[in-house]
Amino acid sequence: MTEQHNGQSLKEKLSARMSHIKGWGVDANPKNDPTYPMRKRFDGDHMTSWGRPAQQPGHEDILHSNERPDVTRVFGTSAPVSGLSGMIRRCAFKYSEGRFAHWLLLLAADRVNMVEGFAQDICHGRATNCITDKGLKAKWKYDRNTVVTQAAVGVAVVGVLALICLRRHRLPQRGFALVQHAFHQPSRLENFLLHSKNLMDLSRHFLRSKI
Amino acid sequence: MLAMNYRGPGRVRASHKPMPEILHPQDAIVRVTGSCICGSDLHLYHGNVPDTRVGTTFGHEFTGVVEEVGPEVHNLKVGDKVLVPFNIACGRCVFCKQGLFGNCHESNPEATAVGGIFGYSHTAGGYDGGQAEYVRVPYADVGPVIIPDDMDLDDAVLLTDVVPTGYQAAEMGGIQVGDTVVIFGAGPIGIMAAKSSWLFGAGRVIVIDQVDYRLEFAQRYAQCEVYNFRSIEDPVLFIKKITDNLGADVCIDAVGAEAAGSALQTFTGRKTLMQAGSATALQWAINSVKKGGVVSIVGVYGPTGNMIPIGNVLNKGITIRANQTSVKRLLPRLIDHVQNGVLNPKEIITHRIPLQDVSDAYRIFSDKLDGCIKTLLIT
Repeated sequence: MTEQHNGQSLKEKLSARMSHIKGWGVDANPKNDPTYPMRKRFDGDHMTSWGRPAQQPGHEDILHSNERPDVTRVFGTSAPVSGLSGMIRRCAFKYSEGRFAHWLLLLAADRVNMVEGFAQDICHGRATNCITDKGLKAKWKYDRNTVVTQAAVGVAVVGVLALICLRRHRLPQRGFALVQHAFHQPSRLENFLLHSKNLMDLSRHFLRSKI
Repeated sequence: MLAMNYRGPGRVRASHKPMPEILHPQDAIVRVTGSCICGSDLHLYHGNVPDTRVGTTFGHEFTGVVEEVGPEVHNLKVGDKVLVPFNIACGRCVFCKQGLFGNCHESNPEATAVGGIFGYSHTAGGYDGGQAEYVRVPYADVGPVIIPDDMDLDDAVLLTDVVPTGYQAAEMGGIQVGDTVVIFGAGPIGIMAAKSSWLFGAGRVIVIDQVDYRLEFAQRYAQCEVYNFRSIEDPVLFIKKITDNLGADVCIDAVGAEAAGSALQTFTGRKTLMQAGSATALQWAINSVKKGGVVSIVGVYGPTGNMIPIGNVLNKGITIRANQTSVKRLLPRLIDHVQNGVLNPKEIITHRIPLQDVSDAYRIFSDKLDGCIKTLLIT
């Protein structure tokens, strides 16, 4: 009822201003608002400023969307930007939220950040945690078949890749020989010997046909 | 203190982090008594949400005890048992005044499209979440609600997100008496949306998923029809056939970016991130709803874009309604429903796992192992 009352009072207020528009608001009905009851209408619906709370300190280094004028009054401090990923993130925030570049750069930064995390782990001697971090203990306990299958597929894929690498390692020698053969420029002596051989073959062929 | 620590896609661990501090006069520090893993945490866990930084603590569904309050906090005192809505809201901006607490404009510097959310990447403000022993709660006078003495803590923790989100999904559907409601996803939110749909007078509630044990649970808990889309060649056609060839009055997408069921959507949305998640459920919802019907979206997607049949939205005259849940707005009504026995959310908690085993907890929840519906982390 309060919402209806507020809606009504706003309508009354605006109808005076809009009296020059014939029929303004005749069908207005808060219940017909597709956002009802999610959005509670009130007289300040179109306010653009409000009594802002105090600013949380340390906001100078917080990245913020360029679609807002400044940092919000509170913000999270879970993982400050740092390293190469931080540089990429700073670059991302030069683009607005409507640009793909903004989000794709952030995703790229996340992947770089993951590698930074690996390096951090190794520095702290925690590289072995990769197995436990993935919760493979639980996976092994409840879904052993999948673990075995995935491991077998992994081994097979690595095996095939290793084979391909080995073949590629050999192929260049063979390939080099073929290329050398195709593009080899014969020397004068080689040309002379080749022509002589062709001439002898031709004479032999001619003599045989006459006989 | 012990806290969940994100290390990269598919990798989390429990590790020691510094205690949170009061950083703003309206902050409170809460000692966490229980926190849940949410289906939307899996989007972070799988590395699909941009600006998810290594070292972040997830967790936006938690209850706890107030340990410390800032000088401008008047509604809470040390020792209060509180449930903390997942939205961080200032209570003063135009959106909070309109009851849109999920769209607060004073809690997330990194993006304007979404308000601040506990433990949900820097795209949602960069706050550490509640999968920890302690958590900083900004704007503590606005969000947290004191848990009634007669309320079970398991019910309370589910009132921070699952119950309100499922309820709002049904509410946004604008369900009218006798409507047929189809819900995509039999996770905790989908199950709660099914349960809530009846409260709005639905005549028929149908849940679609691919995991049999979850469908069985949904059928038992929410007394709804359930179908496994793996046994159906074309889910949209199937829904049309069981709704007099017209489609459902209301379709609810309770899956979001992790949806299965379409190789193209899975490849482009989940495997290669060429779109902001796999939009299979949303695609089915749009195509399955009746002309002039309503599609309600509570499944979470990334911020870039998705392949959905927007032409069909136009041609069918569909209304799409979506939002992050305004938990605070709904809490009074939902607390009543829980206290009156209309809703019994704690039944969906199937796993209680200590915080130090958080990596196993995520694996169990993510891979749907051991019949898992909802995981509660115990600190």
